[in-house]
Order: sequence, then structure tokens, then C-alpha cells
Amino acid sequence: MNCWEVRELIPWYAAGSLPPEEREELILHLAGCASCQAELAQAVRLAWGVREAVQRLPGVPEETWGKVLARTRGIPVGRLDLGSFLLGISVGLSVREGRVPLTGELRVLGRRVPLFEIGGGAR
Amino acid sequence: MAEDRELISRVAAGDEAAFRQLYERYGDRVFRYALTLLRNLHLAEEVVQETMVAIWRGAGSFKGGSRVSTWIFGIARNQAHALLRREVRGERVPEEPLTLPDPAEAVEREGRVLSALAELPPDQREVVVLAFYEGLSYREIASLLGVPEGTVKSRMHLAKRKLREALT
Repeated sequence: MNCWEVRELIPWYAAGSLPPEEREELILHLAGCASCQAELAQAVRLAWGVREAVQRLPGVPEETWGKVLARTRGIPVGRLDLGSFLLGISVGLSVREGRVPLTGELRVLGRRVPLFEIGGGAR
Repeated sequence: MAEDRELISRVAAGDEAAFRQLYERYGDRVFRYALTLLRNLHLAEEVVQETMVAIWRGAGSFKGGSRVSTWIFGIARNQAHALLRREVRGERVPEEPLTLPDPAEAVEREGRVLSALAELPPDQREVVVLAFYEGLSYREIASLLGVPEGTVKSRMHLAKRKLREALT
């Protein structure tokens, strides 16, 4: 690899995503090239700076999960639970994007396993 | 902690807890990615919603040919571009500057990095964020964007030069 080829790959090495075969060749070149080492130091600083800056952008608003849930699982209207915590069945009615699907779940040790859904349209 | 692939297969089986875990893992990341593409908080939130609904409905179609993160960011990108097309049709929503949530917290350098990012052409900004924030390789980004690997490398090269000029 010459300096030009190495410099094209340096940002990806700095990001930690360079494939192993290219990484080895790049390291071999870096060992004997001071100007590419300086280029790498700059790229590492840049990668770190971008990561830190983007990380500090606002996160997704708190209410978004509720909106996602209303569109996927629906807003619960009624629910019937039979059995115990160990083993039981739940049947629920909800409103979702203009439909009123009836769903059934098996409850095993608190974990819910979907059994059926009627009237929900395509998932 | 469950692997992404395990979560996706549980979501495909209708497991709401797995869906919630996936949201906690990707909600903020997709939001920030969308924010850097669209520069609008409202639209970025819409992208997160649409992406999560698409994941819920399409988890069964994930074939495992790529990392889950690449698949999810591909969905988010399609949703963001659909919103941009809507914007082009006349329902324009103004861009907002990429700024830190609380100026009092802003570290000067981070503020300068965000301003420099905002000045980049969108295609270069996207490559920089996917590479440095998400850790995607140039191959993964090329596949996600549907462009040759050389194009991704060249966008990164140009972006790096501009960012360096802006930050020195």
C-alpha cells in the first residue's frame, strides 16, 4: 500500500471498522511512515469528536414509545386474564389504526407468548 | 443481554418485551441519525415511529444477510427519504440547526463539530455519522446507500478535509 491508499483507509481504521486484511496492511505501512501516523492521529481525534458531538444531540422524546405501541399493539380497551402467574391465558381487545383486533396470549412464568390475533389486518 | 438477531426473531414472533428492548437499543440512535439527515426534531421523531412500526411488521422478513443495525438504519433511511419526498411535494418543514439540547452544557468543541457537520453536503454528513457514530464499515455503508464502495470512501475523504478545515 502507498500513502494515498493508506490515507483513504485511515478514517475507517480510526472508526474501528476496517476489515482485518486491510487493517494488517495499513499497520505495516504506518509502522514506517511518520506522515501517515500524523494523519491517523488527526482522524482518531475527528472520529472521537464526531462521536461525542452526535451523542450529545437530543434523544428520542419520551412519548414516542407510547405512539409506537399504539400503532403496533394498539390501545387496550379490555382484557380478560385466566389462570395464575405460573400459567395462564389472556384475551384482550384493543384499538389500533381504525381496527379493533382481538388477541390471545399464553402466559408462562410472566412471559407472554402470542397465540392468535383476529381482526388486526396485516402485521 | 440478548443479541440483536435474537431480539428480531422474538419480535417476529410478536414478543412485545423484545420489541421494547430493541426500541431502547435503537430509538435514540435512529433519532440522531434521522436528525443529522433531516435536521428537524419533529420529522426525526416521525422517522423513529415509522422505523419501529416497519420493524414490528417486517421482523419476519429479516434474512440475516447483514447486521441488524445495518438493516434498521436502512429502514430509517428509506423513511427519512420518504419524508423528504413529501417535503419536496410542498409540505415543507423548515430545517433546524444541529444544536446541543442545553447551551449551558455545550462543550465548545462539540458545538463546533456539530456546526461543521451541518455545513457538510448531506451525502457526506451521512457517511461521517454512520462511520464515526454508528461504526459501520465502508462496505456496510455502501450497501445501505446503494452506491459503490469507492463513492463512500471518496465522500469520507472530502468530508474529512472539510471538517479538518472547519475545526482547525
